[in-house]
Parts: sequence; structure tokens; C-alpha cells
Amino acid sequence: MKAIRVLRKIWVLLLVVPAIFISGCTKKFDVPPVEIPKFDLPSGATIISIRQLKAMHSAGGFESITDNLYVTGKVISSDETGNIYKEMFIQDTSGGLLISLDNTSLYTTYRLGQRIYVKCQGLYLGEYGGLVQLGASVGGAIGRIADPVIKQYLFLDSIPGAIPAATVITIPTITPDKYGMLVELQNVHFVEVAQLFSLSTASTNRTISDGANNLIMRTSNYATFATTSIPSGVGTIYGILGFFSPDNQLMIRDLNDLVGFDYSTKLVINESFATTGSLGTFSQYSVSGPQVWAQSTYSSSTFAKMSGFAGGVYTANEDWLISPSMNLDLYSGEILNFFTMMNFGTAGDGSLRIYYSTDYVSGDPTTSTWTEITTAALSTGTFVSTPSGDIDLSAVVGTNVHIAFKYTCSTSGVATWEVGGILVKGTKI
Amino acid sequence: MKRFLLLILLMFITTTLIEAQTSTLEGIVTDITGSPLPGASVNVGNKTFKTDASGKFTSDGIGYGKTDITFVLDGYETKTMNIEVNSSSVKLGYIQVKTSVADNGNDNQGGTTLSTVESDDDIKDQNVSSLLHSANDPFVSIASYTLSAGYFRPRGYDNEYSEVLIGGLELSDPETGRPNFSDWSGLNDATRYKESSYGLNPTRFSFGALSGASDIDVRASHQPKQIKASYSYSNATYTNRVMVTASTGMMKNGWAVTVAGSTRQGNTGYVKGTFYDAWSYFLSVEKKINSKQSISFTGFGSPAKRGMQSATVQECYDLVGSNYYNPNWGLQDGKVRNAKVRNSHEPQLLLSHFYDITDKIKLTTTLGYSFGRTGTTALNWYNSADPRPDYYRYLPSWQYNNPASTPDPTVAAQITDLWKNDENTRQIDWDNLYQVNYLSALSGEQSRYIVEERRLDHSQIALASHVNYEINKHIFFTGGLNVNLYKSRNYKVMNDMLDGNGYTGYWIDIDQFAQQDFPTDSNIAQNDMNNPNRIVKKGDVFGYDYDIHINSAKLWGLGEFTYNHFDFYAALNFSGTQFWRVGNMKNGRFADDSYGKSATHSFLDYAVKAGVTYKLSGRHYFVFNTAYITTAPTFNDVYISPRIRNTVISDIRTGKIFSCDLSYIIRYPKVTARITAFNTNFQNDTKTMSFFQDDLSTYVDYIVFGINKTHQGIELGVEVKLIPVLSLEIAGSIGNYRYTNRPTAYMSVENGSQPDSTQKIYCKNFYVSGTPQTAGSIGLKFVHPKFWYANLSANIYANNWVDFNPSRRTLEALDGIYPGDERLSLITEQQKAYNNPQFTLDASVGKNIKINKVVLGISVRMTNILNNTKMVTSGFEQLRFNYTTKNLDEFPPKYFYGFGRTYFITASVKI
Repeated sequence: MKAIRVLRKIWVLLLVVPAIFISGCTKKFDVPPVEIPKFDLPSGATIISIRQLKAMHSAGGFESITDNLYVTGKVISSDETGNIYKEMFIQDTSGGLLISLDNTSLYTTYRLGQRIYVKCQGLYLGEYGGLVQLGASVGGAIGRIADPVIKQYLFLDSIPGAIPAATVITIPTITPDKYGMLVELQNVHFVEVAQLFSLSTASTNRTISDGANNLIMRTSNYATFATTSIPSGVGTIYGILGFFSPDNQLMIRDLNDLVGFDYSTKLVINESFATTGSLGTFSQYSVSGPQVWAQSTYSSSTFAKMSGFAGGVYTANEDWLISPSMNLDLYSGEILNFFTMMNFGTAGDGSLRIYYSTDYVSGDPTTSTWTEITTAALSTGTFVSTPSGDIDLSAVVGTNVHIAFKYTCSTSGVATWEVGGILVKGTKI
Repeated sequence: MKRFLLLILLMFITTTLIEAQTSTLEGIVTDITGSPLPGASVNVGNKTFKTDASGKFTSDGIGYGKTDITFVLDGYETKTMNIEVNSSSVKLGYIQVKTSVADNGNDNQGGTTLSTVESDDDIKDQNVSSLLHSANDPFVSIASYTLSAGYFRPRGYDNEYSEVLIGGLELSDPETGRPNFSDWSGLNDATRYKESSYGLNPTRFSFGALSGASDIDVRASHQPKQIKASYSYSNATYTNRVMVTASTGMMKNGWAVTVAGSTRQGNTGYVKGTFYDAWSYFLSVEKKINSKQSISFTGFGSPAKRGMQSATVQECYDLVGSNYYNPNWGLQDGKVRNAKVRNSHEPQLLLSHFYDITDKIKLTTTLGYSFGRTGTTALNWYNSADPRPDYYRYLPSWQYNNPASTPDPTVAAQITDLWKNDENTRQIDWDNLYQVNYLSALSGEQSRYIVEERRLDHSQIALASHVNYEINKHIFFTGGLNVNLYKSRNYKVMNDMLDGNGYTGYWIDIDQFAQQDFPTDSNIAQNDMNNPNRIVKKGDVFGYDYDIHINSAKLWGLGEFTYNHFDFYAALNFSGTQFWRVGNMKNGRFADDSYGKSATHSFLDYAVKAGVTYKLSGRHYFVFNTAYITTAPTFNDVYISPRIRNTVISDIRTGKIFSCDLSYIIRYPKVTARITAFNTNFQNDTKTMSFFQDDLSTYVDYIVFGINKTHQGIELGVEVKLIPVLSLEIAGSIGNYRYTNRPTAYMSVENGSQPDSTQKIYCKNFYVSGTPQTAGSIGLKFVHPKFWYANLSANIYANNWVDFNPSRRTLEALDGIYPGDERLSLITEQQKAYNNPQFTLDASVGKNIKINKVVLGISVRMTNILNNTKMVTSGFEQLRFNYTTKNLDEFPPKYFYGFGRTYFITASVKI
């Protein structure tokens, strides 16, 4: 039974020899203990207030900070929604400060309510649009602090705590010392109700109003809420107060900054005729005359345009610009809104009339029943852009409602009409 | 044609008629310490015999007259003797063979030839013995051991063109076609006996593959009766290795048993962070049923965990001051933690039946089952900063490359300083990742950083059976059948939430890129619409989950014909492959095309090869081989984004390979040499990749198909015995491996924001990468009769090309660039991995001591003695490219460097 003896030896070797190595090689990593960051001011350093720091900047200047100075404050902004981008605002009791940083996820480390210390030595003060900011020198101008070195300048102290209380302001009493601070506007509403917070192409300014005074609310097209409809109603708005010469502006961090608003107001029609060569969701029908409604542009304004004057000749026309079908049974409190620009005609001559129909299907509009809307304010000439005002459509019901603009002219006194910014909004039932 | 058939018939008749007196040869093959070598092939004429567990062979049916007898065993030098057979029984006594190479210091042996029969130089023009189609020629052994340190691949062939088998059963991964070497790593002794062929040369266990095939002999009855243990110490990939192998040999009761085990351990390898924790086990039991039949069971596996290295850009290597910088690790709890850990364990179970139906007909059948897992961990993150230290925006160069910013040297200098002095800047800052997760947990938000494991779990049942039939002394037939049923599950598992100590993280199973691009669509970001917004905890499957099914069958046959001056062979292979995907998740980007079973894709392939050897004399041979092979595309070649879709590319093409080579071989007792010219054309090759496309700001899957390549070259191997104890060895290859057409790329956008599209790739005459196209080695081998041995070799590598980014060689990438623009050549020209040829020097020395029946051995192998740390082994252009700035410095190539000086010290004992 030599084989058995051999096997016995084998197993001893197999088990014992490698076992020597097991102990040295097991890999277990301790979870790092929860770290409560603690900042200790280096000796020789001085803490100054944000107001003192900002005072070191002179308008239009670009200042290098060479003294061993620190500011401290709590984080009041967040880039989580992307509305605030590569920027962070902190504030102390003296004011708020914009810090420019080349990082897109600042909020995962610098959370709302986090106290931080900022080493200013080696950084620069400058301005963008007239707003003071702390940043780095990038090619001899104020720029963002490079990502890998952010931790050389920003130091956490403790874990995020309470966010500083917002300063209650009113639109007419805004002063520059509030720039960069978390502010609160009470009893305000939005002017562009039901429109998107931002157009998809670029950051967009919308208007906050207290009824008498306006303030710009600026929203990035990259914000996660950019495509949300602006709510209606009167409420409270929180945000970071800023300035972009010559206007004050407010940036919200996310939709939680809007309190007491109503998001049920939606756009039923939103036609700005922004696509070159297309009437978008609208259609046109020429009852008589060779000219037709067509998309057109003047400066940055886009609209649908119609005129019986062409090639030096006045031609009699009847032309309809007709909206897509709307199911107004899904909404209540519907409002129509648009602007007009007219020239070469006579104010109030009826060359442009506005109608609605509940039985129009398609094609020739003259076979359907149309009810005229007479409450709209219309341009009185020289292409003065005239808002129609809010036209109440709440009495109009039906699952197939169309709005139409009827242009008529004879061979004299031929007007040119431009219609744009057509909105129908309502509260979704 | 008729005349040809007649001629063959005539040859058969005449050869049968002249069957005359036969003799039986007997002998014992041993290594230089006198230990018997089982499993060695003994070739006489076209007959092959095997040595048994005690190294003994009996070759019967040998005709009278002078004949060559050759002994072949992988890992040993091939030894040929010319003997005169003049009686019915010739006893050759002990035949000692030398170890061919010091295999990474593992188990070095060597010795002198002390044959009992002297070679006869004077070969008469008569029965010229056939060439042995073995891997044991000077070129092959040097190319596969010494030159592999420089990533040299003979003839430029990828691994997928080689074949490794056990008992005729293929051990390749059906998904890639590549052999799974890691499945038996650490079992060097138990798997050392192989029968190999190089290139197209025929084998008697399979149809073979383009670059060769080897069949590992794991039969316990073929293992020498001994216990062998070795301990090795190294600074290369691991620090300590212990291997134990023990075999009983064939015992009187008809049983033979081999057991083996090993472990390889290291806290860090040559590259920091690359820890090694590998084990392996092996059991083979064989029972002789009767004189004709044996049954063998073999099971083995190699559970291994390894910390991986990642290639990075030269800027990082230069900043850190080492070409062995590894961005994958960081300090956690004061210890080095690697984010990329490979964890694999894929056991193989094999049941074989060996049946000598007659002494001329042998049937070998193997049934195999394998299963197991491989997985690699990686960091993943959600709406937070990239945790990889070598992310391009964290490097000083970004200050210059950033198109949105004016360069600022002081900022760049500041970052450079951090890279040089701050470990948390140049490595992963694990503590920070935990801290960010903790802050997220405080806010009730999902974790920001996790470690995920990308898993592939497979199971496979395979059956292989082949018959060897010696029809007569001129004709040898081999044929077989293989059936393979394979399934793998591919998915991600939450490996570590990077939480604890009072806070618990969670993760939501959505795709953040789709979420960003389609903020208002709650479905599109879902990874599994059947479980929307699922909360993922440690151990949960998430991200993607799909099965791959691949079934295949093969029928093949080989005829070998041996005549006085000509040997020839012809082989034929038919195979069928079918595969399909089963999605286990309904992905929001492809809701209608991700869940459930895809269509089945079937392919029929054939391969034919033939060759002829002209034996001018026993000293001079000319060999010509040729093959035409069609290859079904692999699963990954045709599925677009298989992680999330069932869709395949519209233009599926079958690969075609045409290959031929011509060799001239010299066999003198003191000089053996081979020179070969080869040419192989690949048609309809496919390459798949996935990368972040800057123009579209999303990940894309990119399949380049219809690639044609040609591999041409010359290889040379020479061995000269200068004096009995000293040999000179030369091996070299000069290649020209090129792309020969403009293939098409199929691009699929992962976030679903764009329809699929195609691009033409302008890469005609580009070089094939992944290997130096020119490599050579010259060495001296010293073997002293008192069991001393030493090797010294100088190696050279040249023409290693950086793998190019196909999407940079498109019209789209050159948009806005006109003739005369100097950027044109910068963007399109291919780079070399190194401009000057690279040299390395290797040496090894060893000594065996025999005390009674115990052999003690010690060996030291030093690789890259001159410490050349500038040799890129592989380089590749990043697939990311800035379409707007076209600035190549933003995403420069990434490199791996060959290790500097390493040592491997082994002490062994054999009883």
C-alpha cells in the first residue's frame, strides 16, 4: 500500500505548506471612519469678512491676493440641478461671495449649509458682468480655479449644518451689498406663466413681478428643470441674488426654491414661429388673392406675416392663419395671448380679425362657424409691437377648438400684419 | 485526375507488397537526472508511440534498415537518433533528453545527452524519416518563452488562432475563441506534458488552428511516479509560489492518481497595487479497465484574485517618474486598495475514455463540463466627479488643452507639484469617496461612488471524440467529432457601496447619461423597465443582465501519407455554430429590443488544409503548408451593444483566412535550423469597441467589420552545438502585418439619442498592432554534465505599432481639415510604440543535486538584466477624440511598459 503512503504525504504537503501563506495575504479593508472635518487656521493667517474681501476689488479691476487671508462662510448654492454651473456661493453675516471653480459636481462635497474656509492667498478677485468673484488667474484674467487644486484653497469644517436664513428683500430696494446672498422675495408672481423656465438653446431670462416692479430670473438651458412650465400664482421665491450689468438677477437652485405656486397651468398652444420657412403648428388658407401667411423674421423677433402688397402691386386678399385643434375640455381658465405688429394700414380698420371655431376641421375655413374675438389689443401701425393682453377663453368649450387670424385687404389701404408669440394656456383639469 | 488516383493506388499496392521483416524497439526516456519522462512521443517513421509512467516505450512493427528515431516532449529538446535496425528486438536503453528552456525559472532542469546509441551521421539515401510536427524547434521555444516578454506573437497571430486541448477537448472560450490559460495556471507540473504542433502542421488530436495546437496530457498513468514540490520567490507578478504535485504512477491494481495544488501570493507585484492571491487544485484518477481501455477523470481549477494594472498616458508616467505607475489603486485605511480586481474561478471536469480498439486503431473520447465565474471590479459613479486620478481634466496638460480657457503656466505648475507630491492626487482618494457618500447619505441621497463587479458566469458541456487509425505504414488517418453547448450570463453586481460606520448607501438602477439627456422621460433611463427605479444594495444584480448561448459542432478528418521522399497530408473540417442572446432586463433605451430571446444566428464553416514535405535527405527538408478556413463571426462581432440590445449589425460576414508557408529545414547532429516564409490573408475580420464620443457627448458602441489584413514574414530558428556543453541559439522573425482595405464601422449610440450609422475607416496599409513585427534573440546555452546549466540571451524588438483609433480615420473626424493642413497627417498617421529597437538581456543559472532518490534543484532566472524600462509592450490610441479642436494632446495614446529587471528563484525537491 505504497500508494496510500504516498497520498498521505501529498495531502500533508498540500494543506500545510500553502497554509503558511494564507495569513499574510487576506485582504480586508477597513471602512474609513466617518470623518468630521475640522479646519484649523494656520498660524499667521487672518480671517476677514466677505464684505472686507469684496472691498478689495475695485470696479473693472483684477486683483491678486497676496496676503495670508481666509474667508469663511456657509455654502448657499448647489450645482445639483445644473442651473448653477462651475460656481459656488458662500455667505457670512457680512455678505455673499461667488467663487468660480472648474468642477461640475461641487455639491457632492460642498453641500448646502457646509461651512468652508477659503484660503485667498494665490487667488484673484475680478468681475463678470459687473459681479465680483473670487477665482484664479487664467491667462491674465479672472477664471475658474482648476479642479485638481480646489482642495488647496477650499477647506471643509464640520459636516453640513443649517443653511443661513434667506434675507427678505423687495425688488425696488435691492442694494449691491446683497449680491451673492441667499434672498427671499415674498408675494411675487411670474410674468411668463406656463412658458418653459429656459429655452432649449440658451440660458433664458424670465420675469418675476411684485405687481409693480420686475426682477430677472435667469435659468440655464442645462438645468434639469429647464423644460418645466413656469407656475402661476403668487408665492415666495428663494434664490441667489446676482447682477449682470445693468440688471439685477436671481438664480434659483431648484424648484424647491419656489413656494406657494401652482404648476397646473399648462400651455395648450405655444407658437413663436421660430422655424424659418415654417408656420410650425399653424396652417394657412388662402380664400382669395395670391399672397399667403408666411413665417418671417425681423431682428430677433419671429412671427407669421401677411400683406396684399407684393412686387409694387396691391392685390385684394382674404387669408386665414389657423391654429392646431385644441381640446379645451381638458382645461379651465384658458387665456389667449399674442402680439401683433402692423404698418401701412389704418388702426382699427378690421383688416386683421381674430376668431375661434368649434366645428372647423381642415381646409376652407369659410364653411365653418367662426366667432369673433374682439377683446384683443392690436398694433396701431408703424410695426409697433403690441401685446394682445390676456384674452379670456374660459367660456369656449369643446374638444376641437381652433383659433384663426383672418387677414383681408382690397387694392387700397393695404396693411401688413405680423402675428407672433401665440400662447394659449389653461389650468389642466 | 484519374492518373493521379491510379498512381496512389499503385503506391498502396507496392507499399503493401514490400512489407517485410519488422522489429520491436524498446527503451526508457528520462530527464538528465534520470527521472523517467512519461508521455513523451517516440516517433519512428510515421509511427508514434508514447512512453508510459515509467518512461518506457515499446515500438513495434519497425522495418529493418537505418531509421531515425525521435523523442519529443514539450518543454524538452527534441532528440533525434539514427539507428540501424537489424534484429527483431532492439534495446535502446536509457535515452536522456534535456530541458529546452528555463521556463520563467520554473523547474529548471538540464543536462547532457548520454545516449546509449550514438547518432549516425552517414545517412544513406533510403527510408528518410519524417519530420516531427512539434512545437520543439529552436524558433518556437524561444518565441514562446523568451520573446513573449516583449509581447512578441509568432506571425502576428492573436491568441484566438491557437488551440489548447485536453484529451482532444478544446479549452477555448467560445465567446472569444481564445484559450483560457488562467483556468489551469499554477498547475505547471500537472499540465506540463503536451503534444504540440506549430502553425498549420497536422496534429493527431484535432484539425488544428492557424498558429498551432497543443493537447495537454493529464492522464495520471502518464505522470511520473513521484512527489515534487517547489518554492519560488520573485518580484515579477507575485512574490511567493508553492507548488506540489504527486503521482502514484500506474499501480498494480490498475489505478493511477495524480494530485496537485499550488498557491501564488503577493501583496504587490512589480507594478504597485497588483496584488496576487491565486490557488489551484488538480486531481486526476485513471483506472485501467483492461489492456485496451482506460477511463480517466480529471478535475482542476484555479481560483484567483488579482489586482489589475491599467495603461495610462505618458504624461502620468512622467509626472510620477515611473513607467510602472498604476492609476488603479489608492490608500484606504493606510493600505493599498486596487479598484480593479479580477476574481476568477472556472473549474473543469473531464471524463475521458481511451480505447485501443486494435494496435492500429485508437479511440479517445472526452466529456467535459466546466462552469464558474470571472469578474472584474471597477469604480462607478453617479452625478459626481470622476474618481480616476488620471482623468484627463486632472492633468497639468488640461490647462493647455482646455479649449474654453487660456493656458496658465502657474496653474499647470501647481497641478504638476500636486502630482509629484500628493498621493491623493495621483492615486484614488478612497477616503474622499467614502466622505462624499457619507454626505449623500446625510442628505438622504443615493451613493455617489460604488465598486461594481462586471461578471461573466458560464457553464459548458462539451464532447470530443477522435480516432487514430494507422491504415498501413504509409497512411495514417485521424478524424473526430466535437459538440459544444455553452451558456454565459453577463451582468453587474454591486460589490461595495463604499459605506458603513453608521451610514448605509443605496443606488438606483438607472443610466445617468440617458437621465441627463432625456430629463422628462422617466422610462428611457431605466436599466430594467420591469423593475423601474429599483434600489440596489450590496450583492444585487444591476445595470445589465443577459445570457449568451453558443452551440457548435465540428466534424474533421486528416489523412497523413508517408513515402520515401515525400510526406503529405490533407485535412478537412466542417463546423456549425449558432448563437443567440437572452435579455434578462428590459432596457429603457431599447424597450422593444432588449428583453427576452433574440433571433438565432447560424453559421456553417469549413476549413481545408494540406501540406507536403519533400525529404531531400535526412538532413534537408522542404515543407509547404496551405489552408483555407472560413470562420463564423463571434457573438460580440455581430451584436451591437449586447449589454442592452438584441440587435445585430445588418451586414454579418463570415471571416475567411487563406494561409501558406514554405520552410527549409536542416537537421545535422550539430546544427538544426529552420527558415520559413509565410503569408496569411484575413478577410472580413471584426473589431468591436466602446468609447465616449465627444461630438455626440455619449458612449457609443463601435463595430468595425469587413477588415482585411495580410500577415507576411520570414522566421528563422538555428541551434548550433559549439562544443558538447555549449549551444548557440538564434531565433528571429521579420514580419509585415498590414491592413489591406477600408473597412466599415457601425456606430450605435448608447443613450439612444441618435440612430445607428456607419462610417468608412481609412486604414489601408496601416500596421497590425499588439506585437513587435520584428523580433530576435541570440543566446548561449550551457549544460554541464554535473547538472549545472545556464542560459544567456540577448533579445531585440522592433516595429511595434500603436493600435490606432479607427474613428479618427474617417471623413467625419477630418471635417473642416483641407489638403495642406498639417493636422491632416497628425490625425491620420499611425505611430510606433517605440522609435528605436529595444534590447533586453536575460540569464538563468541552475543546479540539480541528486542524493539517493531525491533530486534537489535550485535555479535563478533574471529577466531584463539591463533594466530597460522604456520598452512599450502595447500601446493604443484613446478612442476619444475632440472633433471640434482636433487637439490630439487632449487624448494621447496610452501605454503599457514591459517590466524592468525581474528575478525568479526556485528551489525544488523531487522524490
